[in-house]
Amino acid sequence: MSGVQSIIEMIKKKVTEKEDRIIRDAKKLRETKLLDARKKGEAKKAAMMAEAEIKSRADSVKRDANARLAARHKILEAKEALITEVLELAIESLTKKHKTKGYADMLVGFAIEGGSVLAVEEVELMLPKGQSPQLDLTKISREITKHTGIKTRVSLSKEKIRSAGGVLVRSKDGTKWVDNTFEARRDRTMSEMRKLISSILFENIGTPI
Amino acid sequence: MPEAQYIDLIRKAEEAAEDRIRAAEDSARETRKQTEIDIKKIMKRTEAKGKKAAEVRLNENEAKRAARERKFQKKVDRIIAQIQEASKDRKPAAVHAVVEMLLGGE
Repeated sequence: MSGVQSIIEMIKKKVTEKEDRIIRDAKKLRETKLLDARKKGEAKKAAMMAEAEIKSRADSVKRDANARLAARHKILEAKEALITEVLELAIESLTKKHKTKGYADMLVGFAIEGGSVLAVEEVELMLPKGQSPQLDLTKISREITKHTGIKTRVSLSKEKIRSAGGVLVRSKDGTKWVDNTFEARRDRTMSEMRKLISSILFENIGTPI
Repeated sequence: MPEAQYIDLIRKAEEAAEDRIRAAEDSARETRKQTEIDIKKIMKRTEAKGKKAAEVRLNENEAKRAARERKFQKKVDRIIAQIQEASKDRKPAAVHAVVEMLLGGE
């Protein structure tokens, strides 16, 4: 009986060992796999964070650049409004000049300048509606003739123009003209004028964005 | 005890052993199955955590950026106010210069 008993005990012992090994291996594999999964999970979490950071930074850079651009635009608009205001004030100031004594002298200068550019024998001066300053046409003729070497006759046109001031100088036949109205002179010198206004208004003001 | 009875005892012991091994293998199989389920849960949970953390980071960065932009806007408004204020005294001179330019040569 003791022989049989020892065989049975041996079988039990072996089966216990095998049973333990199977369970132990399964548990060990589980631990390894779970650890691996946790690592992968953390890596994925870190990757998601990094991706969010990159996206956020790129977005931030883009939006900062847009904000800077918008700010420059806003400052330029503010400056532009001030420049426009100065231009309007200047024209307003010139408009009042046609009632002053010096206005006729100024028109004489504009007429001589325009007539000299035209260099024709007969020149007509067109004045703005509602303005009839006393112009020394003889003086104008003489000065144009002196500048061009062409004997020039100057007359006042009955036609009137729409302008705040100045004079439109044209050849009698109407084929050539020099527009010396305030508006035309302003438009021709706009670029220079804007630079001039900017240099006066904005010099040493504000810090760059 | 007769020999047949001994053999029967050993056979029963062997059968019991086989049953225990089968049970252990079933248990191991169950463990593996449960492990796969747990792995999926871990991945899902960490992904959700990652998503949440990324969202928090994005919100933090956006808040910082918005604060930076507000500060910047204040600076811009200050510059504009400075320009407008300083130009008040300079405007008459600018108007005069423009008038002179229009009246004088181009």
